[in-house]
Amino acid sequence: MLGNFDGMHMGHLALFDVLAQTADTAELAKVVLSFWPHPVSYMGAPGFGLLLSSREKARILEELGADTFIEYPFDDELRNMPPGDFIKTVVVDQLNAKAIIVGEDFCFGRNREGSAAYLRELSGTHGFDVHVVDSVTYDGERVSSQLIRECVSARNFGRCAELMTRPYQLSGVVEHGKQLGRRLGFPTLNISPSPEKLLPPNGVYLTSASILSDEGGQTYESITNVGVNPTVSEGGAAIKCETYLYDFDEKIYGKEVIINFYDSIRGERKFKDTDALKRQVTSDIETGRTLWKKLMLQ
Amino acid sequence: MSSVSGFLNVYKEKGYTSHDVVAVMKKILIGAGLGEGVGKFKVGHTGTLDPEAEGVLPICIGKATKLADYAGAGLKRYSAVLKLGMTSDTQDDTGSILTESPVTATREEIAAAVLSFRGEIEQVPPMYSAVKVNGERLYDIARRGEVVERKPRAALIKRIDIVEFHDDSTLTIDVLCSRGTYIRTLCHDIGEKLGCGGLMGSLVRIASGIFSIETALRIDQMREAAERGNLLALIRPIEKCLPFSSVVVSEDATPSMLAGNKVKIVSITSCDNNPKRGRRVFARGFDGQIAGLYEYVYEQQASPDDERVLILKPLVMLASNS
Repeated sequence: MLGNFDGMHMGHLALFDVLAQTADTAELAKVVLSFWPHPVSYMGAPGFGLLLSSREKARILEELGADTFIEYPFDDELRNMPPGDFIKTVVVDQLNAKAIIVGEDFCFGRNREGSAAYLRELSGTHGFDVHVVDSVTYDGERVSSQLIRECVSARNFGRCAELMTRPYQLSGVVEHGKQLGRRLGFPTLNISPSPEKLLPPNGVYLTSASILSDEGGQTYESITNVGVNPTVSEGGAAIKCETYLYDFDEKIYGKEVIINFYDSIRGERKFKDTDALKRQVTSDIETGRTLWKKLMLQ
Repeated sequence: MSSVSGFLNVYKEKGYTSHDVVAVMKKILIGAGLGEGVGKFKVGHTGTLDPEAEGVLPICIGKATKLADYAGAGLKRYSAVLKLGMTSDTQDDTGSILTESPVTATREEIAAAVLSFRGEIEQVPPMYSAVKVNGERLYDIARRGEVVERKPRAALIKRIDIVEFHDDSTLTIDVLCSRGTYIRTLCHDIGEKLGCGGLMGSLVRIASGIFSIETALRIDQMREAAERGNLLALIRPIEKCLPFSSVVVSEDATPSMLAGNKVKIVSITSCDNNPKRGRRVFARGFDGQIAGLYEYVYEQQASPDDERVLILKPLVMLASNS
């Protein structure tokens, strides 16, 4: 299947279903062909962030059962390539595709001239089969990556999780922080999300943290601060993602974690001193516990 | 003019035999100038679909008829209506009803019974089937009112799902299975498992290998395409219709390959990422001409010290001079 698949949301999953059905019946490999960088971010759209990093997308596709995930380099050459050339050189000659699955709104090649209808025309020349999958509508709205990005920016994680069928996530390798949380009495697990990721507005969130391991991994209830720590850092600091895990106190530097977002607790604020910050964090941790209890009762 | 080769994805409608479809398509192809003459021009199908069934019936044309068996060996996907509470002599609703009994199983119990048929199963071929016993077709024996002993045959149900319940005893199932699986026998056996009996109400083949219902065209649509001169564009090249990769062979080795000889693996100039014994690939000459379908096999070298080497052995020759 061809497309960017940012979010691997309901609409993308409908495509993957067709891919899996087609490939299983025809005994072919399930190949997902995306582009890297994302064409919109390549064009330099300001403030554009992705719902999934490459690694996150690859992990989800692997779990779904994709055989191969390709991120085809998106550059000026590809951008200016006539759509027919792209299909011929990449999809037909290199991948030897026998069936192509795209969403009805898929566009590719120079000036986005290539469409699902154009692919159908090409199928006569190249002999591949084309499956065009309709968009998915949920609660009266067409499910799109852009719609979910808007939900992340609006801190509407419930809707994100519905539309993607999994929570919005940040993931990365646990790094050494400044030990500030530990000194304040709240040890946190720190990761640097991929730079291309769309981040929620700075603030504190109700989350869960899955520590990945070869055996599968362990998930803990947690709260996460996304922001620049204005109380203790100078302006211009990079955005950090710090997570406090309930009932967990181990050092796991170097391990990979996935932070899943469920709800918003508060926006980012600057406190007059670390004591005030400490009181607020204590209260955030209490709020988080209460919210988690409520969430579990639902 | 020379004849074309390839596959057409035909949607067989109810009432036609698979053979009818082949005969009609052959006429349409010859009428469109795509086949040489009735005698030489071969058209076939890749696996029978019963007259009462509808759906995907891939048609092979010209040299593709040599690959009908390979194309037909793929998995098939069906949508079938399962009617519980009755059995018939044909295992579908065209036959005479043999038993009727109330369906007492709940929908959950029915679902569990349906899903239990996933995996490798054994089926006794129905009396109304084309299988031969002692040289005679079972349906011929059945029409005389006789019943003979049949050996169970293995079938693989790769996936089976319930699409929907129409009522408490009628449901649509979606089955992905190996070639030779009898869906009506599957319906019958599900009914037996539930104790109430069952038969197949209707059958649609949703896919056969790479050919799927979305792109299948009915005979009248094929005829229309032929009248507008578009039929050729609908014929899919052989290599695109089978789950095998393609390799290209060097200029030196091409003439010998096209003459029907084995190919040394060193002569392959394109990249094959997974050469191994038993793997099948299409091979083309350096100029792009298709030679045929090959299989990687080990060949013992003449000298006993030499290790066995992997070569390509021709399975089906497709070159124009063969």
